[in-house]
Amino acid sequence: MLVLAPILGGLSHLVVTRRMAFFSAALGQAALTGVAIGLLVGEPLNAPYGGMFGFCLLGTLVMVYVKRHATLPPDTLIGVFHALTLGLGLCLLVLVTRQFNVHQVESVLFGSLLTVTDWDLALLLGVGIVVAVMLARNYNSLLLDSLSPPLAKVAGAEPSFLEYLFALLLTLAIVVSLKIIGALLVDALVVVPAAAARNIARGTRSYLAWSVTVAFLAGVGGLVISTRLVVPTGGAVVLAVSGIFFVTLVAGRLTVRRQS
Amino acid sequence: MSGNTPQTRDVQIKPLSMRTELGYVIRIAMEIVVCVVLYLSVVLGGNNTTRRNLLPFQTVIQDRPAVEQRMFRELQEGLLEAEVRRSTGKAWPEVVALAADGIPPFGSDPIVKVGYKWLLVRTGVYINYLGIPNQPGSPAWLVLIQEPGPGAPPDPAKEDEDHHRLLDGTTLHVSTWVHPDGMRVASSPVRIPQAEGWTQLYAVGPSAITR
Repeated sequence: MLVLAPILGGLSHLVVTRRMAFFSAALGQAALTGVAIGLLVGEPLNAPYGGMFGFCLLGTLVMVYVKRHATLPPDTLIGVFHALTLGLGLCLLVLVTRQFNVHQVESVLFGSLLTVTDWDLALLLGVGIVVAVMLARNYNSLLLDSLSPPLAKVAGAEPSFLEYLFALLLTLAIVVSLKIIGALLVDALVVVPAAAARNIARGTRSYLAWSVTVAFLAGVGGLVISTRLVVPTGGAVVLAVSGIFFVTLVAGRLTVRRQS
Repeated sequence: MSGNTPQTRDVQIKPLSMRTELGYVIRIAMEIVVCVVLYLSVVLGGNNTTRRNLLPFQTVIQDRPAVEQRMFRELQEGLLEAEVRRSTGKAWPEVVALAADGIPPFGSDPIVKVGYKWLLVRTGVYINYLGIPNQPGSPAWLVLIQEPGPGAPPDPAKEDEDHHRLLDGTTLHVSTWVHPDGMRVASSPVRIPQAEGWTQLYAVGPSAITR
């Protein structure tokens, strides 16, 4: 969680600013399909990373390309991809359950700390460093591009490059955190921390700081709940982050009322 | 006065042409495909399908010491007998009854060096046959049985190591577990053994029969 929370929290506020919440949900479903593909081609049940990374990264490229050039609104297009990957994932999962006991696949869908290995942690750390470095190097451009693409272009940034870069970084972060949070709930940890941070942040810096803090608190809180109550880690983390969201909602309202 | 005139800069914002962008996208996609193929060629090198299908808290009994293999076989035998009695008597047999009939591993066995205290523990739909060793350093054993909930629809799962069907058609979820430090195991019901340090044992793996 020490690695995962800063990554997802750091990406979270950019996801919300760039209006990519639905895109993240579609990526979660794509990861589900990626798991099924990985298992079908013969990858180990506990590490179907080839299928997950391959399918999700390729899916991201296609989604961003089509989104950039189609005339339909972005959310409609992402909705099409969302439905497509979910349908494909369900069909493939049925095929998978002919080879695997269905209970074996549950941990991938809902996330489980009990299935996390040293290799998973090493991969998480490696991807985390790559994402953090790329994010830090391009942070200002990404933020400016999120707020005003023409202004970013004038400042020397390339919006199309930034759009692909951010989508790919988000994909990497989501895929690598799947085993802990689960395919069905991973988008919550990409969206809710920023939503909670927005309730109490007073500027861009505090927005980023609160986003990371909320993700971290939710991660740790979720782990405690998961361990104590023996429930799936993903569900526990989402419950924790949702709880924090409502606390910040009330705190934000109280602060505004006090100031007025 | 011209010095006070703000300097303006004209920047022409031209989007990347669709074809150029497509070229970049295809190039990156090819690189991703190559990386995945290389990764898969390494990962799929081994042909041990049984171990491939296991989660970190699961193992196959062939990998365990001979003493544990013997206990595992006896537990399968004992479980089979308990299931027959459950089918005919509508209740899970007490350990004392199984021991009285000499059903292994509940009955006394002069060959076995480590003695076990066997318990039948029930909580809701979960039934545990729990074996706690009398000596430190010996493993504890658990047969976890999950009955269908009241009013649950029939389970369509095929019979395999995890799914046993009783004579009356009831499908049970069954699993066998070992705990390395048997003396630390409490005689309380176990519902999610992997969360308490237990390792699930398989004879042939979870997917072998469902294929």
